[in-house]
Amino acid sequence: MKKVLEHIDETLLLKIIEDRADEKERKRFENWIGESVMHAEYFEEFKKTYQLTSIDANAKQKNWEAVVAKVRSGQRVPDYIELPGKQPNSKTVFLNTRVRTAASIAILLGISILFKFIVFDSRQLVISGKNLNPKEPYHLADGSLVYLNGNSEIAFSKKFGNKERNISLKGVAFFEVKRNEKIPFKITTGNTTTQVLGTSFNVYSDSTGRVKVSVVSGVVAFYSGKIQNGVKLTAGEQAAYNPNLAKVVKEQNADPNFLAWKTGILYFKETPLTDAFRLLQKQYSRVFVFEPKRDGDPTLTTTFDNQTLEAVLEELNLLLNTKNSTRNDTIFFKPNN
Amino acid sequence: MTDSGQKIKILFDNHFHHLVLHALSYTNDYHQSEEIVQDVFVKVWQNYEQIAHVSDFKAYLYKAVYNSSLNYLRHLKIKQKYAEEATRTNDHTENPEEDSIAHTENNIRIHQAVNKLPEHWKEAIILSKYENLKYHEIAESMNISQKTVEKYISKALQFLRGELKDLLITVVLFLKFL
Repeated sequence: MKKVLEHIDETLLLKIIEDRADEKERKRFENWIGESVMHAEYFEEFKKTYQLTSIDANAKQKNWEAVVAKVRSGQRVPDYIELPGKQPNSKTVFLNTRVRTAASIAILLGISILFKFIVFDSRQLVISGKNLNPKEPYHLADGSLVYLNGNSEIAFSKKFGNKERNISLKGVAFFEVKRNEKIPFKITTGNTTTQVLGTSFNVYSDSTGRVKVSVVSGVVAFYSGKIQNGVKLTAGEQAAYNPNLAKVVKEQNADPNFLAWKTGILYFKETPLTDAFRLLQKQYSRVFVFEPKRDGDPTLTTTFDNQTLEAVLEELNLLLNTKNSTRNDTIFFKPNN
Repeated sequence: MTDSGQKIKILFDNHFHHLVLHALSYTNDYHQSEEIVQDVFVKVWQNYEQIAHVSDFKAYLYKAVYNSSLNYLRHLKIKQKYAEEATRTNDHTENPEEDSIAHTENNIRIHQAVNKLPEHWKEAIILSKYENLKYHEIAESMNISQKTVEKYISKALQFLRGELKDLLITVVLFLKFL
């Protein structure tokens, strides 16, 4: 791809889109785009990017009007708005512990009442990751193992394993499937089906309808609708279902941390710090903030294997040459000097 | 408009989009970032007498947005702790607004991609796409030639194209089917 693109100057494409090209430039463009489908595709994408980034020009005006309206009405801004050199109104921002506990008790009561109204199909078993340690598998009747992520859920018939091995999944799960050629193991997630004979793989689905399957070992068929429309995946491969296209497409498994939720191991290789911190935030339920935000984003190369937060902080300080301080749930990293 | 109002309007015009993107880098929520910047300006306005002496207003606003974004995240965390339990039980309900969610998600992706641009390219994109300035105006504002502005914009678009690749496929095909 890269090589093909060396033939054209992007500013020329800009001129074409904005209708500023002269005749000679237009000719050059037409020659280039006629050369290959890839050029045409590239131009389409470039043009689309141009259109996508055209932000609502009225946004600033609308926001300004909102500011004026708020000032006129004498509205109080939320307590989390903090001007420099002024202390926030901590009394209201942070509830004291006694109030917090009271609130969570109230909510727990609310939930137990709600539960009574949810009717489960009595022939179905529903297993929720909430009740499981992500590192401890759930044992299915056929001998297969499922590791469930926190807010994920599987459902299957009470007769699972006898004549069929069908499971529906919501969320993220890692499967180790017992080999049995006679009874295919099928996982339905939204519109897609993942079918296996004996293997281990990760299935990820989110609320937008996107489903991702990553295979660790064995062979998996992943499809939407008919099995012929799907893809066959072997070890190390990944495919995603795109709900907009209603299609399954193979992709590069670029994310080395796709199993982090299960293994607790995080790999970073020249990872931009903001991305690394996002993963660490998930793992340790803290907000990580690197203070000298303005001069570019440093990268991080290391592996954290289920270390304690203290050990992680110590290593980060060493790698980033920083000192950290903690305020509530937020950890700040300041450069040493 | 009062004297302070006019001064605040100028600050707002000069820094609004930059501040929103600044907030976005912490909150990951574009709409909320706009709210935070709005509210920072409301508070600045309400307290203008006390802060009129500030010498570097740009730095002051960045710091205010930074403080407020982090406070907001903490505030959100507390709220989420309670909300989480409640939403888990509601997981079964279908979401009728999936389309609009996908749409705003796309917008957030775009803003986040813009946030990743190298400084000069980002500045050119903000002035061109967010502020709607002409290339010669951007050239003047950034103190560079118009040719360089065009170079920056097209380089930035090339970068964004890579960042947003999966969005583009969807959109392109969608258009072809229409």
